Amino acid sequence: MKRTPLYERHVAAGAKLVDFAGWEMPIQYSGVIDEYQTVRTAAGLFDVSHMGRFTVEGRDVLTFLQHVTTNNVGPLAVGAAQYSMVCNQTGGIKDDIFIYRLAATRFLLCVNASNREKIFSWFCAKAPQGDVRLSDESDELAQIALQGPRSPQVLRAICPAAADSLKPRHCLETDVLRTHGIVSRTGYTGEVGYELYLPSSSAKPVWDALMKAGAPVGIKPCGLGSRDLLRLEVGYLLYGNDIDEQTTPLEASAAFAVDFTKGEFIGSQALHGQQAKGPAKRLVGFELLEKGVPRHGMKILADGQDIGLVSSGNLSPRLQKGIGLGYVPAKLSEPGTPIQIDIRGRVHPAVVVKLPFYQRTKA
Amino acid sequence: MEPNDLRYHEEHEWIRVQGKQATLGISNFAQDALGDIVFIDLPKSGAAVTAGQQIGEVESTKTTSSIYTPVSGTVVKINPDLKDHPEAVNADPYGKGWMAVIEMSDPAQIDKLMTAAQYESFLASQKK
Repeated sequence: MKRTPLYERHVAAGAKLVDFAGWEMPIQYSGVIDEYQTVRTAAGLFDVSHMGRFTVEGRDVLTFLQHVTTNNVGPLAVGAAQYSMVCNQTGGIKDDIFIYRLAATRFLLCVNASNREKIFSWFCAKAPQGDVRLSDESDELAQIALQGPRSPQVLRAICPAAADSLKPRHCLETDVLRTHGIVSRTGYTGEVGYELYLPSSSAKPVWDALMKAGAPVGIKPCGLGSRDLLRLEVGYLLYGNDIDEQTTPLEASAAFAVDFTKGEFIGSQALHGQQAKGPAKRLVGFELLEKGVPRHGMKILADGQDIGLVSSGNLSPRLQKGIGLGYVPAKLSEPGTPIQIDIRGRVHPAVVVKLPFYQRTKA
Repeated sequence: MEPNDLRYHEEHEWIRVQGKQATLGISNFAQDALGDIVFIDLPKSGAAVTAGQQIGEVESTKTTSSIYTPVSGTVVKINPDLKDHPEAVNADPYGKGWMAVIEMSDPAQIDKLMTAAQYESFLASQKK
């Protein structure tokens, strides 16, 4: 198994390590719920170096990105970031990604760990003739996520420039502890937070500095378990669970990441066709009406008929209810629609709800 | 160290015997492996159960795990506190985290279960 530059920190902190997409990653340190609460109320630190990081630059980079991603990169200002998808010709999702515009013709792309090789090869195959230089920087760069309402003051201690200037979904190339890095105000938790992209050799000193700066607010290292719970409550999609090449962005209720006005792109014809007819199935959020925990792969029923499958589920610490994401026929996707979840043979009543399940109150 | 007065099952349940009554819970190893427990589905009082049968489920933030009974009999009591405080199983698996009391129909089944020392060796062998 592969290890991130922060592996020794995880072991030293007593993390439980698991195999995640071929990486030996911390699933928890102090406990999933404790870490969850820490991120919702204070600040948590995640090692997300297992994710894939590519840089792409050159005169023809905009043409390239417009062709291989679904969102519109054109209006993205330098220093701004966007959520986007990479689709195949039939509109199936190859990956969901984040795109950061570092300069007019230079971008950083963050892709899922499990899709890193697949997407890099796909991009290489789809790069047009011309000036597009694509580089897989995943091994050279570490990635640390600092998340939670107290994260601005924690970041300020080591990178005041980013802490004071960054607006949501923006990024800044700056020095972090005297090494060049990228700090973005992005994340996967629904809280205010940052992601730091740093040379691998700086991962440990920056991690240590953030832990130290965060001590007064009770910062804790957090693992993939709490990360999954945090993202589910805000309805963020998890590749491989909620979306894959058999689902389209429109079915996944992620039409906001598809821009048909920008012209043709890979999958645009198929998606346009689906848009015109309306997708047959849609991803929705649901809540259980009695105690129980929905899980990936469980059946969704309506009036005794199988209508779809749960793609993600857990017990929401915030709502103290079973919550989940899943696919249902479009005509049953309206909030308020009664459905049922088959939890190991027992049918539990549930209801389709508007996403997200949780939204932070803005200060 | 596992408590000496209990007997253990390879599915990581424990049994405390008092006369014909067997109190059942899950071991410290099991609660630790599951992580934060958020919901426990227990059988109803009065249910007839057979040794080896799945009688309930433990849901944690990470996964779902079955609860098996290592003894046959009738469920005479379940822990009412676990409905609102399933985390008691994490905090005190051998005490406040008990799950059910079974009136045994065949107390000799206890003899097949592991002692604390045997269970510790079993855990050690599982790690390899």
